[in-house]
Formats: sequence, C-alpha cells, structure tokens
Amino acid sequence: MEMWLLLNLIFDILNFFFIYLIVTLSLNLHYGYCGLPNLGLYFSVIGGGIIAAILPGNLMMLSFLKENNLSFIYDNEKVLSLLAPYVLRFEVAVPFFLLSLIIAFLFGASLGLICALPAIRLREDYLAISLICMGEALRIIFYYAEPIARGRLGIRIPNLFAWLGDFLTIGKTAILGLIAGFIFLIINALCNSPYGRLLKAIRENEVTAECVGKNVNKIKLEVLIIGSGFAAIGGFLLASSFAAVTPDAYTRIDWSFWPWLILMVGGMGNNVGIFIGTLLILACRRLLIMSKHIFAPYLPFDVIWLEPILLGILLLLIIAYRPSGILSEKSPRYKTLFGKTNDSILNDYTRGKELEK
Amino acid sequence: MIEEIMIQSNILALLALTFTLEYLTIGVPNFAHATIAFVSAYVALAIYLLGINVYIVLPIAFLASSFLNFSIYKLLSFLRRQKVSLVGLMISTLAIDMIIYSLMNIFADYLAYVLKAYTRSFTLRVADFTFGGLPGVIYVSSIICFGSIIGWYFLLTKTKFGVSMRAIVENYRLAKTLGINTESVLGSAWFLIGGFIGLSGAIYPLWFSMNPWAGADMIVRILAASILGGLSNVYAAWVGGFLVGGIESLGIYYISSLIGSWFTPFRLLIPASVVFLTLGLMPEGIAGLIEKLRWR
Repeated sequence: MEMWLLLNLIFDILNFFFIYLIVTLSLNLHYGYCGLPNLGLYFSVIGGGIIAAILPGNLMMLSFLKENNLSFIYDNEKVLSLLAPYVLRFEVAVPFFLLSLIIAFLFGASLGLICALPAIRLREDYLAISLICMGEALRIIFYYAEPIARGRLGIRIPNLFAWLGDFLTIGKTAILGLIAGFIFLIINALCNSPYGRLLKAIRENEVTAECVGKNVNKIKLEVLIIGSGFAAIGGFLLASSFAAVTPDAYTRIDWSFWPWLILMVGGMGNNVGIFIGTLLILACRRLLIMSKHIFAPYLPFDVIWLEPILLGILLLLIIAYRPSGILSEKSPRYKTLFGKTNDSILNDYTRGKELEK
Repeated sequence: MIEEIMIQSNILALLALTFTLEYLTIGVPNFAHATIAFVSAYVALAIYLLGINVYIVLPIAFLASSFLNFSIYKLLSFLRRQKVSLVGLMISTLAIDMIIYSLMNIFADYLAYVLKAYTRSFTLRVADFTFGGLPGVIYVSSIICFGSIIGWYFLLTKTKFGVSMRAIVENYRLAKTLGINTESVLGSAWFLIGGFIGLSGAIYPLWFSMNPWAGADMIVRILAASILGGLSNVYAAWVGGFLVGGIESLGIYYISSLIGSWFTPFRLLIPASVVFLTLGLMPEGIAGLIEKLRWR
C-alpha cells in the first residue's frame, strides 16, 4: 500500500514537472532568448485552462448527446456520467484530446497577439506592465464568468486519459512527458537555428538588429505568439491531468512567479538549465510541502506562508548573487576562416566586457 | 456613488503620484506598491481594535510605511550595485510583493487570533466620523490628496532637496558629478514617498472592504493611472489617478445599470482596458499630450 502511495507521489511530481517544464520553456523563449519580460505569463496559461473548461466537454456533448438539451456547466455531473462510456474509447478520446490541444495552442497564441499588439513597440517596462494588466484582467474573467468554469467553483471535465484503464497513472505521465519532450525539442531546435541566433541578437541589441535589416517588432511578436501558445498547452494539460478546471489553480504565484524562479535558478537562454531548474525547484517545493508538519510546531505563524516567503527570498538571492543561474548560457562557437574555433575572439570579447564594467 | 468616486479617485491619485515618483527616481516600476500601501490598512485595523481613534493612526502609518519603503529602496539600490538588469529589478519588486503579502497575512492571522476580530473582508466605516452628512474619509482623503500634490510641487520646485531630486531624475551621473549625494537624496525621497503610500493605505478601509489580497487588484488600477498619466510626469500621474478612479466608479455604475449587477465583479476590466487603450492609442499618456500641446 505504501509503495503504491509512493509511486503515486512520484507520478504526481512528474506530471507537475512536465507541465512546469512546458511553461518555463515558453518563458525562456520569451525572455531567455528574445529579452521579452513576460511578467504576465499566467495570461496564456489561463487561456489553456479556459479551453480545457469549454472545449472537450461541449464538443463531446455536441457529438454524442445532441438530443439531451443539457448544459455542460450546470448539468456537469450528469453530462460527465453520460459521456463516461465514450471517453473510455481510444478512438474517441484521443482525437478530442489532440484537437483540444491544438486549439489551446492557437488560443494561447492569439492571446499573446492581443496582449502584445499595443505594447510590443514600447520599452520592456511598458511591455511588462501591459502583460501584468492583461493577466489580471483574464484572471478576473476566469474567476467570475460562470459560463467558463462556473466561476470560482470550477467544473469537472471529461477525463481524456480514461481510455488508459489500469495504466491511467503511468500512461498519463508518459503522455505528458511525450508532449513536454516534443515541445522541448521544438523550442531547442528553434533556439539553435539561425532564427534563435537572431532572437539573441535582438535581446543583446535591438538597434543593431534593426540596422542589419531585421524587423524587430515582427520577430518579437512572433516569439510572443509562439511562446504563449506553448504556455497555453501547459494550462490545458494542467486541467486535463486532473480532469477538472479550478480557476484558483491558475494564480499569478503559481504560473508567473514559479516559472520565473525556475528560469532564474536554471539559467536563462539555456533549455537544459531550464530542465534542471524545473526538476530542482519542483523537488524542493514538494519536499517543503511534505515537511510542513515538521516545521509547524516551531513556527509562530501558519506554515502555509512559509513557502511564498522562502520563494521570495530565494528569488532575491539568485537575482543578487547568481543571475546567470546554475547553467549559464553557452557562448556561441563557430569556426573562423582558418579552421580554428572562436575561443580567442570570445576571450577578447569577455575581457572587453570586464574592462567596460 | 459620489462618495465612492471621490474616495476612490483621491486614493488612486495619491498612489499613482507616488508610483510615478518612484519610477522616475530609479526607473523601475515597483509592483509591490499597492501591497506596501495596504500594510498601513492593517496597522489602522490594529489601532482601531485597541480602541484608539483611527485617524491617530495616520502619522504612525506614515512612519511605518516610510521605513518599509526606505528598506525596499535600499534593497533595490543594492541590487542595482550588483548590476542587476531592469527586468531583474522588476522581478525583485514582485518577489518583495510576495514576501510583504505573506507577512501581512501572518499579521492578519495574529490579529484574528489575539484580538478575536475579522481580519479578512473588513471595513472601518463604523470608526469614521460624519460631517455635513458626508463621511469623514471624504474630507480627509481630499485634504491628503490635494495637500500632497501641492506639497510635492513646492518640494520639487522651491527647495534644494527637490531640485537635487529633479537633477537626479534628469541625469543621475551628471548629478553625482556635480556633487549631489544621490544615495542620500533618493533614500530620503523614497522615505517621504513611502509616507504618502502609507497614508493612502490607512484611509482605504475607512470606505472600502479590505483583504490582504486587495493589492493584486489595486496594482492594476495604479498601473492604469500611471500609464494614462504617462509615467514621466508626476502631475499627469495624479490626474491619471483621478480619471481612472472616476472612470471605473462611473463605468461600473452605468454598465451595471445597463446590463445588470452581475458585471460588478468584473470592474477591474475597466482599468485594464484603460491600459490597453492608452498603450495602443497614446503611449505617452497625458504627459505626452501636454508636451504636444506645449510645442504647438
């Protein structure tokens, strides 16, 4: 019995790990590679949650329960019990899951576009302010709009992993891992391509990038759209893995602060660093949650406040003393005209930077 | 209705003014601004629960918030010396916001436990006085709001300290070269700004319902007011605060009367729309508009 509990715990941590990995990779694409300070990342994650709340349930209801005249929101339990035989079928659940996943990506991308349009031309502080405001606005809509997820009460959604049967726990984790791995490969390929180098050039010096004929605003917009789409996939998977949408689970702390902390710990502009950072931070968080009862008798306050205080202090310490994170960004290596690597050039560059300081 | 518009506008104008002042001095938007303000609301609650007149709390709130803001300035100043980027500093203010928010919750729990009082969703309306049929908070908030803008105007234009502060805002390095003790001037400025932030937070629960998480909503209003003001002019930010406060209160009244009261929880969408529209249509805000008119 205890072994079963331990396995469940491991799979639970892994599920969160994969979801956080997706969201933080999208933040890394925004900020680590392109220098876009997306402080309102939860905007896109909420977008994924909204799609999870609205799309699969209503779509399945329209496909299989047309004549029943039920409302997915208000007759939630009844609809789910009627849909139960359908979600058990692989050929039904998987297409609905994939369709919803794609639409979540597209919805997140369009949210990124809406959010970026007024502020993409402006300075990074204006962009950050705009993104935070948009994030809060969408959070309010998600919290209070009954037609989305019955307000703060939340709703249950069809369990699109139910077809896995006895292998539900392990299978769900494997699917989340596959999706996270696929997104990791896409983002990594993107970042290591000429496009990725262009993003770094924009991050380092926008004016220079513009001077060599690059449309900086268009590229920043593209990055924001792509990253937001991936973050929305994270939001969708969060809801799908629990087969429920709870607006309270999509907070600024969870889906903006934690990814920023992971980014800072792992190292900006390095996807492998993000992988390690996510693993490290989530393991620490889970350990902290599990050992709360140990601290509780020694603390003069409610132990739930320990986590945000420690998180805040850790973030400040990393920003102050280790801004490059565990794995710093790799310097680009290329061959010079005479076949040698560019180490000497890089050394000169580093020395120049030090002199500048 | 009129009361709500006036109080909301006064508080928001004060918070937008102080937010913009902070932004101008170090060039970083302080996302912990609203939470710092609401620490004073809990100081006011504690004073009220001890049976003391809530208006006596104003100087205490001023001082408490001043010290808090000064400490935050010192932290940000240290981070700047560590060569932390603008984005790093912005994230630091978010981290500070989270720490203060948690500490405020701990304080609220403590008050609830020791003084057996409701510390979530409380107002101090019962502790307020009435004069001429209007609640005292209208007079007090108006005096503080108008007094602060006049005070800051005189401080920035007629005193040596204010001139030094403006010089630092214009060109930090040049001001330092000219012998201005930039660290001391900025530290004192943040101390003073913190006082006004504390005053706005202390009067807030005299009319509005107060929660530890109220800061998350208020920061959107402050950002909207400051963006509308233009983030480059304190007087424009003050006007922006008034406008956003008025637009939100009037807007929610008219929208609710048109489509129903179900829209009331969505009132934060109004200041968020102000941000969206301002950045889309006139990113320089009111300050930019004034500049354009001046050049004509």
